[in-house]
Order: sequence, then structure tokens, then C-alpha cells
Amino acid sequence: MNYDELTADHKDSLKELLNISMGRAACKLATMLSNEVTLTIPAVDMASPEELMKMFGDATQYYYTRQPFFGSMSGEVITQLTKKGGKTIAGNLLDLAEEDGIDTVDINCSILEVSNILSGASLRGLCEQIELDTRTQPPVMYSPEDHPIPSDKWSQAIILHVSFLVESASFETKTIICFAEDGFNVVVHALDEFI
Amino acid sequence: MSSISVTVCDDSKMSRKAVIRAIPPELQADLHEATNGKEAIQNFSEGKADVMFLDLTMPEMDGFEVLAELKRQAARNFVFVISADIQPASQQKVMELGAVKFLKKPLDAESLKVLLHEVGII
Repeated sequence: MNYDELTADHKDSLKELLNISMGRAACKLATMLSNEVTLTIPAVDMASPEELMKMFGDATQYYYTRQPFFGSMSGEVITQLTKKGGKTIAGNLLDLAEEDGIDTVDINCSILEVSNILSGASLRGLCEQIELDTRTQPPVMYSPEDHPIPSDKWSQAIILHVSFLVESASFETKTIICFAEDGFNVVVHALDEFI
Repeated sequence: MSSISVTVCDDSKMSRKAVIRAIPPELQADLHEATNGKEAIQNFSEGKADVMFLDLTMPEMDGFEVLAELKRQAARNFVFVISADIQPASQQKVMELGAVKFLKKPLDAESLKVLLHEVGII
């Protein structure tokens, strides 16, 4: 099954369940950053691995992380975060001022922390609500240019577009859940039960 | 006992259905739906929102704007905010704008029933 074959009720419930999950993520981020986080209305889309590779933007503009998951279904969550604002976020999370010299290690550490919250919220939040058992491994930094999405491994991906606007910095994120084999059908079946 | 007009405002059909299912029968609600803030204000001006269950993050006009407009009109209806945006700052803001209570998604039917008892609506 692909996204176009989903009913309006499937799409609405998937979007709303992810919205609830991302609300939890925004709350965690707000606490960590000591700043209010404004969350935009999420947009949900789907793509094949080939379409996904075309969507990846300029590596100089984005950070990427990947995080494998397994359980009721397997795959991995890829998070794309705009580099704009990354330094400010790292400064906030690590309590560092610009003059302290925020380096790549600090920024990567912060990006992994943020992406862990986002992927946790999107995948674990969704699975919790539709009662699917899933476990995730820690995220690692990722370069789509160096390691293309394996099209023989992942068959479908849900793409969740959400912008988090923080008072001190604005950054945008995309959370992409890649499903192996019939993982997406497992989700659709669980959505049917839920609806 | 006469019915009370209730507007459930959320851009998600699933969420509106979840709220409608959670409304206790004792409320004898005359139910109306709105898919964005503008429709919710329209319902209010037509007398269809003595009680309003209001989402925050919506297209066209969001829940904060609805609360601000109701406050501007000195509305005396009961507005319950039901949202996924559970940040303390958001909860504080909706209370300052006149909401009776902030409820987090997914809505718990039993908590809603208790709350409606507490505020004397049922």
C-alpha cells in the first residue's frame, strides 16, 4: 500500500497521532531550551527510497541523523534539521555563550539530542498510541550523500514536516520514518484497529 | 431539562470524533462541529457554543486567536482547550485568555466527566 491508497480517515488519524506525539516533543524541547517552542501544523507525506534521495537538500544547509528501530516492524528514522539556528540551540542546550567557542562536537551532540527527542516522539509516540511494540537504538550523524538510502532494504517512508520555532532561534525539521518490507502495512492495519 | 449547545472545534475529524465520544450523555448536548477557529467564532455568534471544546493548532484561525476574540467580545461561554501543545507556557496563556481548563490530547473521557461536574455544567 502507498500513501495515495490511504483513506481520508487514515491520513487524518496518522496526522493527528503524529501531531500529539510532536506536541510532547515540543514540550520536552521547551524544557531543555528554557524557551517556548512554537509548533507548526505537521504535514504528512510518503515517498519511495528513490523519491526520498531526491528530497535530501544541500548538505551545507542541513544536519542529518539516522536511528534504527525494530520490534513489531523495523526500519529507521532519519531526521533533517536546518543548520541555521544549530549553533544557538547548542549554546542553549549546553549552556555555552558564543564567546565560549561552540565547536562541531558541541553542535553534533546537541543535534543528536534534539533528533532523539523528535524521532522518539514521532515513532515511539505513534507506536504507543496504536499499541505497536517498537524499540530504537541511539541516533548517529548521517550523510545521505555518502550513504544513500538502500532502496532494496526500505520500501516506504513516512515524511513528517514540522517547524519548531524557538524564541532565540528558528530551525526546521523533517522527520522521516523508513519502513522495511511490509512495516507500513503493519501501521495501516493498526490504524484500522484504532479508528 | 433543556439541551446545551456545544461546539467541538478541531481540524482533525478523528479528534472531533474522540471528543464527541467522550462527552457524557448527562450533558444533553446539542452538538455542532467546527474545523477551524473562524467556524468556531461563527458558531458562537449563532448561539451554537455555550460550551466550546477548542484545539489550539489549526489552520485559518488558531485556538489562541479564538480565545482572544471571545475575550474581546466579553463572551461568557465555557471554553475547554484540548491540545497536543502541552507546554506550560501554552497552558498559562490559554488560561489568561479565559479558558476554563486546559486538557491534553488524547482526551480522557473520565477526566472530562469529572471536570464538567466540577464546573457545574452537569
